[in-house]
Amino acid sequence: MERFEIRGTAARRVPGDRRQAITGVNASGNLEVLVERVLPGNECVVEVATTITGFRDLWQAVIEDFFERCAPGGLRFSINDGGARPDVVTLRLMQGARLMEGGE
Amino acid sequence: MSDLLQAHEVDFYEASARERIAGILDSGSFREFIGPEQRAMSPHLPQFNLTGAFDDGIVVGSGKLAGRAVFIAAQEGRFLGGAFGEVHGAKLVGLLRAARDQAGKGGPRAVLLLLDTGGVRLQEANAGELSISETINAIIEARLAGVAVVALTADAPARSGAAASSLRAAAA
Repeated sequence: MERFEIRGTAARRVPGDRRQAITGVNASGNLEVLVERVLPGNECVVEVATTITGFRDLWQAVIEDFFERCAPGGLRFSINDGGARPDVVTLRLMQGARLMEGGE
Repeated sequence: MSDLLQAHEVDFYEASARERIAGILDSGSFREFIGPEQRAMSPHLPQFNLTGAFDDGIVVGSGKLAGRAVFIAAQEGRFLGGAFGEVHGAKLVGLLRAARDQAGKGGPRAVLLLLDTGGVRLQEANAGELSISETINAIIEARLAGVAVVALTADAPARSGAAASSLRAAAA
C-alpha cells in the first residue's frame, strides 16, 4: 500500500454549501472518493491510499489535470483505491466535485 | 407507469449500498450514523497492505419508510464481498441494540437489513466471526423487545456461506 497527497490551488472556489459527498466503491479496478468542503479559499488537496505501488507520477498528472479542468477550490478529496485506471480516477473525482455543486 | 426502469433509476441488485437506502426510504429522510467523514475504518486491513473503506463497507442510520420511522443498514457487497470485519460488525450491532433500547419509548419499530455479504473477512477472521455472533444475538434481542427485523438480501446464497444464512434465518 502507498499513501501520499497532492496539493493545488484552483482557479475558483466551488459554489454551494454541501458539506460532503462520497462516490464510488473501493473494489477491484474502482475507487471511492470522499469529498469534504474543509479548505480555505481556493486550496484543494487529494489524499490517496492505493494498493498499487509505484505510480505516484501518474497519479500526480491525473490529479493536476483534474485541478485544472474542474477548479475544485475549497475541497479535500480522500481516495481509497483498489487499482483503478486513470480514466476511472478522473471520472470519480469529477463526480465528487459535481456532487458538491449540488448536481446529481 | 411503465415497469421498465427509468434512465436515472438503478436496479436493486446493481445498486451500491447508499443507492439502495436512497431508493427504499422516503426521499431525503435518511440520517446516517457514523458516516464516512468520521473514518471509522478497519484497523486490521492496513496490516495486510489493503486499503479500507471510509464506512468499513456498511451504511447505518435511520429514516422513514412510507412515513414511519425505521432503522436501516446496508452492506456494500463490492467492498471485500460485503464481508464482516470488526468495525463493520460493531456498526450493525450498535444499530440493533439502539433499536432494542428505544423499543416502546417512541423509537423505530422496525430495522431493515439490506444484506449483501460473503461472510467474514479472512484478514480479521476472529473479530468478524465474533461480530456475526453478536449480530445474531442483537437481532433476537431486538425482536424480543418487539422490533421487527426484516432482511432483504442481494447476495447469492452459495457465496454468502453459513454465517450469512444464519443472519437471514435470525431476521426471518
